[in-house]
Amino acid sequence: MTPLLFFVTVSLISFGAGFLGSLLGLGGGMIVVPALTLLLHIDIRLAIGASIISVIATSSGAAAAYVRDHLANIRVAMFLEIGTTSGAITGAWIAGLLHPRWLFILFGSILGYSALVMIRGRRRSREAHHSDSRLARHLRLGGSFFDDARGEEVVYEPARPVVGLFLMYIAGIVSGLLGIGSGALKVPSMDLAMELPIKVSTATSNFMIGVTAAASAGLYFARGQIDPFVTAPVALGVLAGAFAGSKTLGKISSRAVRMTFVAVLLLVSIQMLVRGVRG
Amino acid sequence: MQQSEPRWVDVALSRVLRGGVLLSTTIVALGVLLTFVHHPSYVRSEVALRQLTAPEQAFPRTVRGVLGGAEQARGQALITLGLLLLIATPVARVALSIGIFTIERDRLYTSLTTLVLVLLLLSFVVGAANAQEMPMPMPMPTPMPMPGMQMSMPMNHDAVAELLMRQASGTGMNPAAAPMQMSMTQYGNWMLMLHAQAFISDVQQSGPRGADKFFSTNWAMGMADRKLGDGHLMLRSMLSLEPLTVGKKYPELFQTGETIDGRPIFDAQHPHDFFMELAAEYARPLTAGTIGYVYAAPVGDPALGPVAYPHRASAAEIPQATLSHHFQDSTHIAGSVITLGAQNGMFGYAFSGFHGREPDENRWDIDTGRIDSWSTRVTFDPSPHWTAQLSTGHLHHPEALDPHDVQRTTASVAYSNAFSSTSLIYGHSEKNSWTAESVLHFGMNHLTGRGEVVDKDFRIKALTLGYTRDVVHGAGIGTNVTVYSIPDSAKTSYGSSPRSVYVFVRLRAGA
Repeated sequence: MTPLLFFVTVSLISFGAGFLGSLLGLGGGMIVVPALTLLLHIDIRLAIGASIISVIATSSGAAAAYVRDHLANIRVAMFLEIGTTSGAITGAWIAGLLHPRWLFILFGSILGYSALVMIRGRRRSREAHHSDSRLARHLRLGGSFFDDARGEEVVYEPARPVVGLFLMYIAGIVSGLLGIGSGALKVPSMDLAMELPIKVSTATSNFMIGVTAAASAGLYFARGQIDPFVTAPVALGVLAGAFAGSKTLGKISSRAVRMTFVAVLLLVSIQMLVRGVRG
Repeated sequence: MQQSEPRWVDVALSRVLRGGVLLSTTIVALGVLLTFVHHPSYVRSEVALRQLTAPEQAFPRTVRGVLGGAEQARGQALITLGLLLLIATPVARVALSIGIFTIERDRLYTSLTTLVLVLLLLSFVVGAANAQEMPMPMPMPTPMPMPGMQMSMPMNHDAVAELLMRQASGTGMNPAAAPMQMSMTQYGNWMLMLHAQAFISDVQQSGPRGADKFFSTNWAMGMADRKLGDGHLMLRSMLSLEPLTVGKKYPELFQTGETIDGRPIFDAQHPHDFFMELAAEYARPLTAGTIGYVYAAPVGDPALGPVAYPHRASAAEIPQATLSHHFQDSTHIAGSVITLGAQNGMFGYAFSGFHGREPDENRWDIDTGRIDSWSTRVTFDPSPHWTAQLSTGHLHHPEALDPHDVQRTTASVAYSNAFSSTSLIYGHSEKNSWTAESVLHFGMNHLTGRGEVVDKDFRIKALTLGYTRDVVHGAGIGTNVTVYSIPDSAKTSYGSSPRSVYVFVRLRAGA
């Protein structure tokens, strides 16, 4: 394979990953890392480095829209970013100590978990919650947004900020370890632990992902895991694919299609696990 | 409302994010361009790639390294500069937020945000320290290809040729161990292959809606394959004389799908188009262990469903169509098909775009059209004897008289050895269908069976049992009987026990 063909192939694969990721609400990193390692036999550490950069690109692009629409809660984001960034630094640091086979195993497990979460599909929007967490009130984490579906302003007050902060630290570790946005962990944490409305959780998670990724990207860059020739097509491809995906179809809601992708992701996760176990 | 930041704050944050992404991706793209301009050999040379993607290669890892990039590495340095700007974008967003909170005199959040910024900067400091004391750990041993099959050896061109030869319908594959009957000759650089099959049948059906007919179903496939670059190019054409030898339809109780004279077909099967497939496909190894392919066909079979019944190893001795044809594999003749796929050891992935409408009533023309439908298929071949596939596709307005889109999802498992082939298939296209079919070969004798459960207007259960005896090599005579089970409500139209009996001559060329 010549460098030119490699560049074109990786760009196309990344475009597909970004496109699918945006349709499935998964994020391109989840798809692009298996594609690069299993199909093109790129060293998983370089693939993770390239993926973390693409995560920054897509989430920054998407966050721009969410901020404008007033959906992302910037205070909640700032507060939780303390957890995600310190987690990301921890994760990126651990990644440097692990043998690459463990990265395959961890990646396979997280991918499998995300696929299983997809089975349940999109959660119902919960009723506006008014908690009496003193810390939340002190931090003024509450907010409101205009819900198009209900045609009214929804006021909410998050619960359990400390639990949320801890879960974000875990999500940050996963993100730093595997070079993914780990929105699959962030959104449920905010949704279940902090009882935030799902729209706010999703938008705020997207807003935080870029900062989380930047924290580990610094370590990856310094360690030499950001190979310009691998990263350039991945970042450009995933960004273009995610953009195209968000413009064309919106999220996939058909159950049959979702189950098919769940099965595909499970297969890929098994393939990653097999690769990891066999070393 | 507690969260009442002024509008300009949102606009400013949004601008920083969007502007940062745009600026950095532009620089990255310029860097890529520059890299190829400075290194014309990258367009052709294979050696360079190994250096470019090796984990231990020396690309800039510090800001100073990026800014002082050597002349010949300017392109790469520019890419890295763009990537650093991209990393800096969220950091700038955090820094900007500090400014905003300060202006708003929000001391609590000014400090919280400053803490985030400090953590971010700390990550770069830790990283820089890290880089000096421990460079990238030892490179991984050469990548392990997937276990099983011949994939543990470095892939040669024959693996590509084998993949192409195995494709029985579009890019769909029978198990590798399924008997393959075709004659081959070498002509210059081209390998030519021919494969043809014809059934000459008489069908008698009982009941008020039963009908009788003497007709022939048939197809002939010609293939030409040659090496091209590191891969293989294959041209394939498949033709059928059924528009002539079947006419408008042949009787098949409970069968539906497509139209005749502008009305939907009931209790009959349409003939195949004269042009069943006209396709070009290029496949080549992408890396050790992975083959990539591109399939383009004005008429062809997208990556959806199991191998279509006329080409399925387990259906080799049954002349008639499956009742679940329009639930499982009816897209085997589709217009404007483009498929991209990859085979990696035991796993295969393919994605297709195509024209979703079923062929029209003019069976002699090519029904191309806008690419308005898509499908994707994943396959798993744990051994040469087994293959499993899962696929789904969105068909835009497939039936001319039924103006809506259909989501088709299919799953199937096939097994073949030298003496038998079996398939289990599930197909969903608005309603469900299940097919199990098998053929056993005892020398010149062939026993076959097919059971189907299909939900149409009502649930139909059908069981076919058949026997074929070879007379001379490739030619045989055979018979089969189909019995049906239907709900009582349908018995007024179809009679209490509808049956169908076939007597046929089977010809196979290329065996």
